[in-house]
Amino acid sequence: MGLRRLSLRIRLAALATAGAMVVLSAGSVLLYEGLTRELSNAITDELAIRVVDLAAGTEGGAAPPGSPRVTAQVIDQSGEVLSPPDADPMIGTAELARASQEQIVVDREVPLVGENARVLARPITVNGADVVGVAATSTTALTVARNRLIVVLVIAGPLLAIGIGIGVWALTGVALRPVRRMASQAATISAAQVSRRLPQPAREDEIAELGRTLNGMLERIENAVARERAFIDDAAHELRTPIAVLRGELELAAHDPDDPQAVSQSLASALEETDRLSDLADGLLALARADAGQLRPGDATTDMLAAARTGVEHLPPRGEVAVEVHGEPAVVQADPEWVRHIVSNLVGNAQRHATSRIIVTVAVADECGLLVVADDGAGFPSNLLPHAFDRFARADSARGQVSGGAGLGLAIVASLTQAAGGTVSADNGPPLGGARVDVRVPLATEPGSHRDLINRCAE
Amino acid sequence: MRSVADNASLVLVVDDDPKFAGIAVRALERSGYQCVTRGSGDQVLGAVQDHDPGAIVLDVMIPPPDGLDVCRQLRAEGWTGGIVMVSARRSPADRDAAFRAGADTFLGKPFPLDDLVSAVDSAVQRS
Repeated sequence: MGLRRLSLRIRLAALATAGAMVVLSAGSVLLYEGLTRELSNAITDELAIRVVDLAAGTEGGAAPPGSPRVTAQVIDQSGEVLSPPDADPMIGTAELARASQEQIVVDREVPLVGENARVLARPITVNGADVVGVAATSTTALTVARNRLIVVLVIAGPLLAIGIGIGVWALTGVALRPVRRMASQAATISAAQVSRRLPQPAREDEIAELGRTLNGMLERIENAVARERAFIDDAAHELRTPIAVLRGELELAAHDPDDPQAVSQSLASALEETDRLSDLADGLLALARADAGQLRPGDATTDMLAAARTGVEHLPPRGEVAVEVHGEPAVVQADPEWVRHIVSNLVGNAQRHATSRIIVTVAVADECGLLVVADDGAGFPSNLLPHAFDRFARADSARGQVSGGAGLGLAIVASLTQAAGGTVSADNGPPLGGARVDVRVPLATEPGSHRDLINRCAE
Repeated sequence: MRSVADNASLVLVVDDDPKFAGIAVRALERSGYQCVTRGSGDQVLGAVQDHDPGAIVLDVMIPPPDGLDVCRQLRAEGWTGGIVMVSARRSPADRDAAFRAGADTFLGKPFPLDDLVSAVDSAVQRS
């Protein structure tokens, strides 16, 4: 099993243990070497001091040299032990010859001292005579100390490393506890419970920041889900109304099969409702495609003036409302079907609310095709105006119902216009005093400069 | 405002969708009722005063005041006629809101026309 499959907590503890082992091992070696050297030097120094004392003590007539820990001798050049008298020399002839010239330090067995001993010998002067001072002491204590140190380091090092690993494991557990709580809570959040939030630590560190970031993401998801649910709810509501009419008409026709006029009226009405349902489905599909980013302008071009005339001609007349189309040709970079939809939605909407007159104007302005649809009705209510292009935005007087009265028409106009790189705006006022919708779409031009026109139309 | 309908066989149909209102009228007239229609909430109180119907078929989503406000207003003024509330929004919350506003019956669109006639029959009898 690879390290990646282990939990972060275990990985950190293992890394800490391994790191501690390396550091402690290196430290132990250095400590062992350092302490051993210090102890050894201390013994040598003590022997050297004893030799110095030996020269001074003998010269001064002090008590014979030697102590319980250090054995000392004064040996003349011939190898005779001058002090203490009658003692066997602790160094041989060869060592005596060297010690007569310089200080020597030898670790070996010394009969007077023991199996493990250190001997220091150096030339000294006693009562004017050149002799050799010899001092020896046992090194058994040093060996024991070394062995104990090794035992301590070998046992304590790994234990300390394991202890560090356990400490890191425990501390990591404490540090990651908020993360586990967040993960546990996140695992219980489903699409039906997007209003829930992750527990956020009351502190200002990276984990708290992670909590804030995730909760911010949940809030955005909640808003998106709420918008989608509202859209589905509104769509269901708008679909039920024509379905209710369709069902009612069919029920009435079924109830009066012998009344040809009633049946004919019901069937005609039912057919109208199927058109209404079809328009509504088209509208919902167009919006869904816009949401999915599937509306792309392509290379098609359209004369807005011709499209406006065609669109108006194909609209069924409503009452005494007259529709006029004026302006100049404006060839824009947009799918002809889109422009036709834009015109039919806007004029159809205006027909519902105009008193007697609708004017459709096409012009070229700032390298954009400008389509203006204005009517002499009551205009957009002030509370609707900021939301005129929202989906299912319906004013009290039903202004905004253009696609089967579903409140989708202006939203579709906005989606198609934006897909063509254009902009759309709604207002009340001139030229007829009622509602006015302006649609700006970039003029058709050479490839490559279209983006510049889009930017200009958006200004 | 009188609290007992003078004209129990008269039904006021309030819906801003003229086609649905027309269907409701045809279904009710077929069952012997006379009908008058209105398309917005602000026309309801005047129509009730003018015609004093036996029952009202009241859509919830109509131009203001909406069906719920109209229902509350009618009940607040002591009108005891039957109110059949209809709506394309038919969630439990919508149904509950209708009853709390004072409706006698709630029908979620689409519904069988026989259900509408039965609901109006019951509403007229209660009034």
